[in-house]
Amino acid sequence: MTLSKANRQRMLAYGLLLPAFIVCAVFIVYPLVMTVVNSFKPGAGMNLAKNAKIKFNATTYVKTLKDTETWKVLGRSFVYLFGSLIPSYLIGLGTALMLNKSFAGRRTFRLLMILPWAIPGVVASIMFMWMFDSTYGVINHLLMKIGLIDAYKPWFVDRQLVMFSVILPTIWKGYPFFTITLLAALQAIPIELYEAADVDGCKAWSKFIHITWPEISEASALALILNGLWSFRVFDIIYAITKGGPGTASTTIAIKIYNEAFQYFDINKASVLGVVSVVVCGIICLIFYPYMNQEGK
Amino acid sequence: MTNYRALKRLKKVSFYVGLVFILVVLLFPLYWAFQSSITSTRLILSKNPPLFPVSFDFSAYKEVMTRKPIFLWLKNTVFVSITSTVFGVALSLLAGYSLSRFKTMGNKMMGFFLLLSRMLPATLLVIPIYMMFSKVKMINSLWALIMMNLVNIIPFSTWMMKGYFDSIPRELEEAASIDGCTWFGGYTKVVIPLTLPGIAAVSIYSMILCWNEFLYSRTLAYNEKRWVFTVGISSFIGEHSINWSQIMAGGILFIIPLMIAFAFLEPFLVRGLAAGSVKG
Amino acid sequence: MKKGLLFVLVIALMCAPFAVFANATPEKKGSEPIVLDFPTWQAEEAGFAEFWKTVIPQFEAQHPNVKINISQIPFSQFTDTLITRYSAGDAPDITHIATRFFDQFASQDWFENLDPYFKGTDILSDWTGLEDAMLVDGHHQGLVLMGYGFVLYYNEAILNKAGVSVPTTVAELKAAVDKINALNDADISAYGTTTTQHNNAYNDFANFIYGEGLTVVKNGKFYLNTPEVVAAVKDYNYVASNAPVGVTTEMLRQLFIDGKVAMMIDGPFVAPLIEKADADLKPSLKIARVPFTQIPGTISNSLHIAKDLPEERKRLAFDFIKIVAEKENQLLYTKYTKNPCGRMSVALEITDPNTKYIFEMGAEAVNTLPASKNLSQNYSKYTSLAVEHILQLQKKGANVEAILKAMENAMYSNSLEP
Repeated sequence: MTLSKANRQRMLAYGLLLPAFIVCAVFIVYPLVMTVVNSFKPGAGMNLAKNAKIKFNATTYVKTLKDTETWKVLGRSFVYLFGSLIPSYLIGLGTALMLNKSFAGRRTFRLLMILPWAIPGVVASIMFMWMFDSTYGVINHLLMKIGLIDAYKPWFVDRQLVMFSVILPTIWKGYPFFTITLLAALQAIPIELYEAADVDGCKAWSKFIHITWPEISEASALALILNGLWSFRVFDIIYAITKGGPGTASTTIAIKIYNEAFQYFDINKASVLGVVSVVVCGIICLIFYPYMNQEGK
Repeated sequence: MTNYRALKRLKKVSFYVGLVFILVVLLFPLYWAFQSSITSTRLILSKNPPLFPVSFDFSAYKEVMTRKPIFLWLKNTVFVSITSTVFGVALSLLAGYSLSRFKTMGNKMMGFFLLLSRMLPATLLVIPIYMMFSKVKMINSLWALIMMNLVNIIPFSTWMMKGYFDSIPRELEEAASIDGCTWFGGYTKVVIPLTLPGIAAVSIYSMILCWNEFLYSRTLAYNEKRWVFTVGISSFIGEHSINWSQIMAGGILFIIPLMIAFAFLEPFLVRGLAAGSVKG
Repeated sequence: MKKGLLFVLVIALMCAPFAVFANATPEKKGSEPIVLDFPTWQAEEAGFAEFWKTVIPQFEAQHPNVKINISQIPFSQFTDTLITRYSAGDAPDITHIATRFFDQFASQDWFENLDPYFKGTDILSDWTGLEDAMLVDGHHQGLVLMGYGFVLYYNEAILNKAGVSVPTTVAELKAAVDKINALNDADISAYGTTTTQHNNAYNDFANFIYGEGLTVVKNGKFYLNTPEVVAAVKDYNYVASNAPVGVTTEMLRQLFIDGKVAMMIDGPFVAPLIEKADADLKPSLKIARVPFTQIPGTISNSLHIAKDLPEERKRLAFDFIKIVAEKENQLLYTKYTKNPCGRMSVALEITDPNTKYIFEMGAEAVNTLPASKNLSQNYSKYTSLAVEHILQLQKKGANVEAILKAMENAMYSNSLEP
């Protein structure tokens, strides 16, 4: 009994995808299930064996969604997300475009440009904490020397400034991802397209809009979503520098979840917030899914 | 005609100037980390820190390299990173191709699930994951780290490879099969070579992800003999004080192996085989 | 049909791990040596490491078939790792924690009641009064290893330059701050305290209150908005507003030994750091009694035993604790670490004057942990919320009454009644 072509195709499709899928599924399903279960157990602490006795109840969902603090935290998460994503992307695009040209020393420059990616998060956080220190930081010193500010600024202490100040190291660590991804995409654009445009006498800007951008837009969308998902959940950088402070001025949802679980031992609330976080990410993904799942050319 | 040449030279010079300026701004924190590792904190944390190295005091590096088992950390990190990257990229190559070429319902759902697995906050994953590994007695095994790295790498790499595969027209594979190649032959001889820049990018991305991994490394492999570099560096943060110059020195040393790996992978990022493949 | 088969196969594969994990059984312990797991952040810390390396062989000599595996976990992730292990049901055999988390851990019903084990030993009768902090429902659930009183660190050179002698009262402290500010040296701060969102920032605030014989909680109510406490906090505001802004505790200590902070109040464990100061600064960096009427103090760390361990391991773990508590070893503890130990009678045998001084201050110290079950069980949340307001109290010209009122209201609205 030979399989029909359609079935063979389907087996090939699944056969290629399953190994990767299974590796992820094995380690995600159990935690996902546990999180959802814990979110329905008000009063659950960290003693998970005791939690089995608590009855299912959705009251924490109601309480959390009614709490204005939850929405403030979500808002901050989005500020953090877009505040770091868009500049990272732009810097990544700019550097990729520059590195796409061939010039002497290109290899060295390429190496240097992506170094921030390689620094471990804990070291980068301490670096930025020192550089932007309100009393002895070198950035304050430099900015005053150049004359951009007239007094040392309390970068990580002032409630208005702190989100901006934690976004900076995030951009710094985030842009090389875009540099590399976009550079690879730019490399795939056939030179003939540019040569033809040159023959037609096109300007650089018009070449960008009509040739470069369409070719890299899918890769860009993909990179933005993937990096966006990462930025939404990451908490290392903010936690290492401000612990979400002063007060809650830099507390994003990832930090709040950590605090609720590991500081306040309220795994129920942490799980509720975790589910909320997943739902928000899921919705955004669903909206952009068609763009990512386009046919190949 | 000299006007044209002058303009061209001006463009070239301003390009280099712009490049160097951007580099200086972007790499300043790294430079400052280096400066902090060779200058005393008394000078660095002051109202008038020295912007250029005044004393080349490499004692922090000496301390780090002799007092701490830094080569053990390096060995562990290299083992975990390379193994995870090799397996991760291999799995993503297959999976990404599938997502690109086949649009079945099952594929769409599995593809979405891969993204979903990146939406759960890590702090909520840690305890159930620890439980799972604890039950099969794989705590303090580097293979546990490799598996968690795979979970980190695969979703992104798969989708990124899908993007790169999307840019390879199907006509090429069809041409190959007309020439008598099996699917696999076509895949390896035609498609893969064209996506080498993508593969290089994904490999670099995976290496860096593994190299920087901290949360699972510190939770699942807390035994000193199994520390990876990130956990080792965090040990400079003591209960009462932080050894500042050593942490900065450690951070700088940390990047060096990565730079070597990158120098090795970087040629593949370059246009070469991709050019001129699409004809009419 | 093929699609259905495939679907079933996928589900089966996803369920397989559950089967594997659920059925993994613990190995039988035959005549192999028993290994007790002892993770701590002190395995490589100067002074403490020597102590542990002395008592562990003593234990192993007494128990031929048992070994203790002491492992180093960096302090910054120690508590999180411990929480993960306890939650996952994989608690270590010997539990060492920073005591400020004790009540939180105990509230999860994780610790064994040690009173039955203490019976028949002389430990409780010769131990620091701070051991009472280990009581949960009238039973001790741990052994305090180190309680201490805060001390005043000062830079003699700066004080001399400003023409000030070491302050012994809060009034003198305020005057000293003024005189040092008059020097107008931009590189020097007259006083230092933690000025970032961390529960260490709570300590200094509490010190100014408890140091004057007051408390934060009295008779089951917050005592914050009484005239005496408001006055004490105003003093805190006066002094703390001179501290460098946005500085973590570790940065603060570094700034002190770099000669950039004139005075700060911290635990005695900072003294070894002074050894690392530059040679020209070291002679000026000194310790004195805090400028308060009482010495505020707290407990640093303690040993505990997990409730869910097999009986034999619990007994062995307590045998280890017994050895740690022996008089000779307690003397070694103080000798190696230069910190007060738990056994009180050791005080008579200390010869080094500095250490004796610190020991006496530790014995005199008043516990600054809140005297309320709800607050100590929610210590992290309580201090986190308090620090949010304390950071505002660190600004010059802050409206102390308003902030203290806001703090009390915030506590009540977050279910943090004393």
